[in-house]
Amino acid sequence: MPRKKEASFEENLANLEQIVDKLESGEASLKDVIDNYTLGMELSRKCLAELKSVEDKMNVILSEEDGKVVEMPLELEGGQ
Amino acid sequence: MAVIRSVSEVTKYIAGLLKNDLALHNVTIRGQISNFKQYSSGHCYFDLKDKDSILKCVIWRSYAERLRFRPENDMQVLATGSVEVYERDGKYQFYISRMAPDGVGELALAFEQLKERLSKEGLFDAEVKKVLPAYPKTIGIVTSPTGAVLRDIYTVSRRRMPSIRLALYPVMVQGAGSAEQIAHGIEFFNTKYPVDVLIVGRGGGSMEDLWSFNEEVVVRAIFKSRIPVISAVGHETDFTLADFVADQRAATPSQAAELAVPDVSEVIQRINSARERLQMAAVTSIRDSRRSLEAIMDSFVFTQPLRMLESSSMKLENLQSRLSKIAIQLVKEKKNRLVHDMEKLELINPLGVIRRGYGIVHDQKGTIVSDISNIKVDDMVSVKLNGGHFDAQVKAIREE
Repeated sequence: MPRKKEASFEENLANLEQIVDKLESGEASLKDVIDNYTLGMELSRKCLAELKSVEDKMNVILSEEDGKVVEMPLELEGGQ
Repeated sequence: MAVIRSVSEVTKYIAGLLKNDLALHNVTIRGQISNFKQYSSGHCYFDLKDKDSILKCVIWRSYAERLRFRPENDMQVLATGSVEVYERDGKYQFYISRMAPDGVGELALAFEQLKERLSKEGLFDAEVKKVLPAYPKTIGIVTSPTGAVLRDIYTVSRRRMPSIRLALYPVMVQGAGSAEQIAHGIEFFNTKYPVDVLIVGRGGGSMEDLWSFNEEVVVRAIFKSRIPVISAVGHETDFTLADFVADQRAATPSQAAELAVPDVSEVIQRINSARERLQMAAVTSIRDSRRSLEAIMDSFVFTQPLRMLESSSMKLENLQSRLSKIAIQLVKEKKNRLVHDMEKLELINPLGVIRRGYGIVHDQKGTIVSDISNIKVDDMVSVKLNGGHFDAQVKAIREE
């Protein structure tokens, strides 16, 4: 299975559910099962990590100065 | 003789009369539009009429630009301005500075007119609407930096998806120039600051307050946006044109945030269920494989391997006994044959003939004399008998 360097969240999720369907069909060989299981667990771990990440992604307020974009932190009460 | 006056003098005089009559200044007149023409200069010329009379009307460009609706023939209007003389043509005209539809509200009319026009152009068609991304990372927001809209979007989207990031392009959401700012904000995200989805909106208000979201420039900016747009103009009942053109329409900013971001707790549940199913499938698969293996291991091949040899050894014994039988048989046959052949051989063995008393005659050269014609009287011959030979001389020949 060719894998891109950085799959998007959607791709990973779709891939994960495909793997589950495949394993549940019971048609995979034992080696396939183990390989897919490992891959599926890895994908699900990645997806969960991405969803649960609360690393400070700064909210911004935007403006333009001489055609250039200026980003300022957007302070929201009770946020960040 | 009466005083003679020029045309200009009389016309100027009349113009002066009208100009000084306050009743003709800042007057509001009700009438129906006909013969409406707007020239490329932007000035509008038409007639206002009722069932008995007609009044020539002019709206200069600077006033025409401020009209919120498009004047059309047969439209009933209330026009305000002053009646003056156009001296060159010698006619009086109504110079209009403000005009509003009579009966229907001006904004309502403007709304319907623009809606119909843009609808014909296909701006509201369902098939051009874009699909919202399932998992956006950044939401672009075009709204006021102060109102509750931003707060509501923040609270709801953050609760549903903690990793979401907001980027605000602050604009005025009502008043002069606000429509242009809103349109510019939408364009800004499309050209300079890519985001996954846009929310464009404001809190609730009167139709007048919401008017910017009915302006053509905003509607067109939303239509042109390559980024999917959610409109969130805060009022449940009436729609703005921004709502019609947006890819999704939300009644409130909170609802817009719900449309924009997925509830990750649901997604997390889905992933966890996928993990459980994965584990179950792997465990089942391994268990099934082990069972198959055990079933194979249980077979007599592994448990009593010698049983595999039983049939083979029986077969072997059988073959051995058949083989020895055949061998004995063959030897017997060969022996009989040999004895028989030996008897036959004995019959033709010349030495056997000699043993029975016959002799073999050779001439001097050692050739066997097998016919009487090959011999003459006085020839020396050698005769072989059993046990030796003797030499003899032919004395007489008797042919038979």
